[in-house]
Amino acid sequence: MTAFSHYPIEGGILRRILLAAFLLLPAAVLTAGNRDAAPVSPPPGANISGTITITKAETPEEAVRRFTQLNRYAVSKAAALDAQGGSQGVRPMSDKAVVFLEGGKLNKQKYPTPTRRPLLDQKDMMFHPRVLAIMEGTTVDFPNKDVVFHNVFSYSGPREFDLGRYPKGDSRSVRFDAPGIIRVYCDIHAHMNATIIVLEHPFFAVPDESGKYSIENVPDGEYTLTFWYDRDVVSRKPVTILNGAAVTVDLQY
Amino acid sequence: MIRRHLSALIAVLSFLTASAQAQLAVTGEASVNLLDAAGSFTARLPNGGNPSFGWRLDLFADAIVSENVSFISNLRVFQSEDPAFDFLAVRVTDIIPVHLNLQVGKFDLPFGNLGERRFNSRNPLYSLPLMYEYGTALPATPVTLQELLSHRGEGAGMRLLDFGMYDIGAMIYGSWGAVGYAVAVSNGTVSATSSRLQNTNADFGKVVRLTYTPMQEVVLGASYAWGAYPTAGTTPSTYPDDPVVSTAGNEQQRTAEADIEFNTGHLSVFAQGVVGSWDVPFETRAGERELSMIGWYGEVKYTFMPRLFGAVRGSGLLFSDVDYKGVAYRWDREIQEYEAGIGYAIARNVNAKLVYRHTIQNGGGGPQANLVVTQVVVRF
Repeated sequence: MTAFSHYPIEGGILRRILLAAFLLLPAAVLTAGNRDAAPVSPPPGANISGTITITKAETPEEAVRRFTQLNRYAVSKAAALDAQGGSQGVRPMSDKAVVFLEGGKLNKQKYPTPTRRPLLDQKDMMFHPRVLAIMEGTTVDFPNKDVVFHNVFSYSGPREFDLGRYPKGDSRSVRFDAPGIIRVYCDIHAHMNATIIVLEHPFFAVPDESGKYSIENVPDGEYTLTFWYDRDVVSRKPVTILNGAAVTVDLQY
Repeated sequence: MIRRHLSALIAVLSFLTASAQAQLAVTGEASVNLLDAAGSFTARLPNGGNPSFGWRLDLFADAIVSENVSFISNLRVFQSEDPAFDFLAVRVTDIIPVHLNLQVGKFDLPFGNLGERRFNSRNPLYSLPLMYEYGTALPATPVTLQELLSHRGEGAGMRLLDFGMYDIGAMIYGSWGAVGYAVAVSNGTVSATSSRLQNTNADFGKVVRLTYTPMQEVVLGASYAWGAYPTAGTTPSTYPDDPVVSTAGNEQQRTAEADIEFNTGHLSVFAQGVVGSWDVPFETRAGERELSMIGWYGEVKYTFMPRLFGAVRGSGLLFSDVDYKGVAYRWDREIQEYEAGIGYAIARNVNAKLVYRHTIQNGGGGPQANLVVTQVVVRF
């Protein structure tokens, strides 16, 4: 079982994953020591790529933000928020979509500790991106780019934190060492939310604005390709990599 | 009563949402508390201070009608009180490029920095500062000096600042860079709002507020309010030693305040000082017909770790002297209150608080409003 197994999944696929996990359990125990071995680069593998298409109508996030700006009980600050303005456009897919792999032997390997420090911006009264996938051990920076305070926090089990208030131009950081789903909020602006998906491996990808994605160097094996959009998993598909052959999987929501 | 209010709200929201562009958001918060007090009868303790459960529900229904027009409402349902709209206003924003905004209807007067801390979900403690809660000995209806003095310490008159200061009127507000401003005209005054009534006298309450934000961590504010406060048409009581003037009903109230808010990291600090004065229809001292008072509070909140916070607050009220038959008296009993509490976020939208309040009132004859309260607040 993975940290994401409580999300919706088709029954048949779930049974297959559970069966595979059960059958692979003895091997996993025997090879558990590998996790403490020296980090190794992922072996050369195949690419899983495809195109994501969003057809479902969405609630405009801009409207939600505007409700917060009504800010009825702080007149002097309401004016500041009005002046703050905000994004009027629709978030690009790269802000809301992530694809990643589950299952197989991915979680049994030791991968190099990430050195890249991704950003979760507070800008235009919203988090950017809305969904951020990282590997465990990654440190995320939370810069405030608004002229108003934010107070970023999470009460999610894998990593609780409360960054307090800091002004525009300042930043705080959090290191995520345990896999799981981290729901991130602002204590001041209730509409602001984001999700950090902490994975045990580096096999995830963010689509570009046209929806194209590519997960590279995936070793041979049977996996589940999980498509996360906005707040939740929206689909899962089984994927098999055999003899390093590339696979194309298109996703739709 | 609640059926009538809800019907009105539903009618307004239905009208607004019938508009093609209208967007509606309904949120709210509910709180339940278990209160144990020192068992005394004061206006600030429910049920005579006996251990009691209490509750409060707020429903917020807001609609964005168009790019510049929004509708804002807050229906409050409070234990042992009729449901009431605290907020029912239309806001028109960005009327001109300098961010001039207009708000018309029933709203909180722009006086002081209480803000959202009036709600249990944002108040780190249980009470509000004394200046917002304590009823002085002075009512909005004319009294004699002797009647005033006989009601000292009872907490049944006007507050220095009337709870949330919700009143019916109009307000313009906006900002120029670091400076914010608000100018409001309302039926009542900050001490005697006419929130459920039409204007009770011939004058309007006027409020001016300025804020200055020199840096993001600090907000400085100052407000001034004035206007006639009494309920006109009330026949003044008479007393042989206190000649009541026949023009009762147009006496003026003048109130000034300064406030500061400081936020950095996990620390929040709020403070406010208020000076209020009321013209009265009797002589308070030789050649004077005025009562005055000072209110103050300071509040600190600190978040120790995710979910866990603590807060303390001190507040007090000071009253001017009056001469009655050659003896000087404070026109109400001076009072101080200290409150300390801890809170824990059970979930993102659920807070639990444990608060102790200690009250010291001169001449009050012992503990008046000390209490221990546990409270759970849910936002939805």
